[in-house]
This record gives sequence, structure tokens and C-alpha cells, in this order.
Amino acid sequence: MNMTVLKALGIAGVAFASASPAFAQSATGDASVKILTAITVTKSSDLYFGKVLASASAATVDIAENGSRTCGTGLSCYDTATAGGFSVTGTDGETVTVAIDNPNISLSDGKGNSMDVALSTSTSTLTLAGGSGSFNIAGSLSVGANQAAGDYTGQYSVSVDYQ
Amino acid sequence: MIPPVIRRPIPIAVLGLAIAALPTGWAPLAAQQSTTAPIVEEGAQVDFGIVVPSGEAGAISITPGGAQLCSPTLTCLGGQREGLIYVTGVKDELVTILIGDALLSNGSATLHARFRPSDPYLILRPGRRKNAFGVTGTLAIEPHQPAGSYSGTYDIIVEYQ
Repeated sequence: MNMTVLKALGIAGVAFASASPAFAQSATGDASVKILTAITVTKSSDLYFGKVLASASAATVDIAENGSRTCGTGLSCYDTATAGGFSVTGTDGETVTVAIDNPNISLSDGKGNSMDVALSTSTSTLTLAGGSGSFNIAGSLSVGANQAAGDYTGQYSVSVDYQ
Repeated sequence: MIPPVIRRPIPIAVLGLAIAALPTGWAPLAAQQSTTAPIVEEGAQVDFGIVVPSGEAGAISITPGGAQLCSPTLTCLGGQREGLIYVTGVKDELVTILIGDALLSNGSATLHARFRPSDPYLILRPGRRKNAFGVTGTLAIEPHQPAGSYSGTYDIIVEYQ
């Protein structure tokens, strides 16, 4: 009788141990991504120092971001100056960074004469309210003593990136 | 005089009574295993981050470890995260993990995403501890994909083997 009971329990134990659950469970996970509108940067105004009458002394002509001009000692400045201006479009509410790629440039008359310009902006970041924004560029033009007359031009570039 | 050895058989009725007297809620092991499905919980959602599309199609992938791989046609700005799923079930059991594709939507436009578990198999540790696996994936971005916050859900199936 004893042996019969033990065998029965042993078989049951094997059956328990080898039983494999067959149940599966399904669930859901979440995923997300934010797609932004590509940024566009458009020049709205050139940085224009105006017309400058040089003197025997070197001096600077400064254009502030609001377009106001400070004409250095000994220089005479004419015409309406403008600050550099850029408009930016992108995703509404996003913040972008603003940088001047080459903050020190040279203007040339194409005849071997040049003047240095230091560029700056107070805008390092910009929040695109309504998907757009703008910023201005100031400049300081170094006019040499007896700077040769002529039309001086140069280029600079800016970078705008999502933060 | 040596007393006679008396062998008493174990009464079957007593054994049956002992099982019946076990605490409420206990069930034989086989019964537990066959009726307990694994518990699947989300620990962290998959986040593909922030992407700026272009005029060309591309894809963004989240790798195991949570890095963001971006097609050259896209600008990826970070913010990504690998998903995390917890499974709790019968200890030492092997489970298989299947994850389906999904469509992420911003309400008007959609994106197709494919997901992968960090491991298609998982051996459940004892003690009803949460067994974690990661979820990575690849998101296809169409040319000029409309901007917006896209979200969606994917299906996970965890099955005992």
C-alpha cells in the first residue's frame, strides 16, 4: 500500500514540474516623435554703412542693430545706413540659435583696397512665435587714414539652428 | 521478546484532507502556471526625438542603448529614448517577445514605425521581479513630412514557451 501511494505522488510531481504554461499576454507600448519645419533664413536688409568721406586719420563707422550710425572722429557720413537684417521661419514656438559664421570680414573695392568690419548681434537665441522671427546685425567699419575712394563690398553668413 | 513491527498504511483520506486544508489562494503549481499569463508593463515609451525633414525621404533609428541614427537627408536634434518594457511571470520560464509595427499620427499625417525588442527571448527571474527588455525601432520619414507631434501605440505579445 505504501509503495502504491509513493509512486502515485512521484508521477504527480513529474507532471507538475513539466507542465508548461501556454498563456500569452498582449500589451501596448507608446511611441512618439516631433517633426519640425525646416528653417528658412532670408536676408531682409543689407548692412550698409552709407557714404563715408575719409580723413587723414583712421576712424570707425558703427552701425547699431537698430540702424543708427556713429561716425568716427574726422569722418563725414552720408546717406541712410541700415543694419543687417534677417527673417527666420520654422516651427511655431521652437527656439533657434543664431550665430554669425564669420564675424570679422573685409570689404574690398576690387582694386586692392580693403576695410575691415567687425560684425555682432545681440541675438543668440530666438523663439519663433507664430513660426517666425527676425534678428539684426550690427557692424563696425574700420576706415583707414586717407582710405581710397571706391565701392567696397563683402559678404558674411549667419547660421540658424534649432536648439 | 521482540515486539512485532506494525506497519500502518498512510490513509489516503488523510492526505486528501491535508491538501484541502491549505491556505486559501494556494493552488498546485501546475494549476498556477497554466492560468497565470505574464504581466506586461511599459516602463518608458519609445521616443524618436526631434527631427527636421527635407525634400528627400529618410529614416531615424533608435539603437540599443538609446543612440539616434539619422539618415543624411534628415537633421536629427536628439531627445530620443529607448523604450522599456517589464515582464513579470512564472520564474525560470522562457517567454518569447513579439512587437508589431505602428503608425504614428499627428492627427492628419502619419509615419510608419517598426519596433524591435532588445532580445526576442527572456527567461523570467524568480521572485516575481520585473524582467526588463528594451524596445528600439526605425521610423520612416517621407519627403516634406508635415511638422507636428506624432504619437501612436505598438502591440507587444509576450508568450510562454
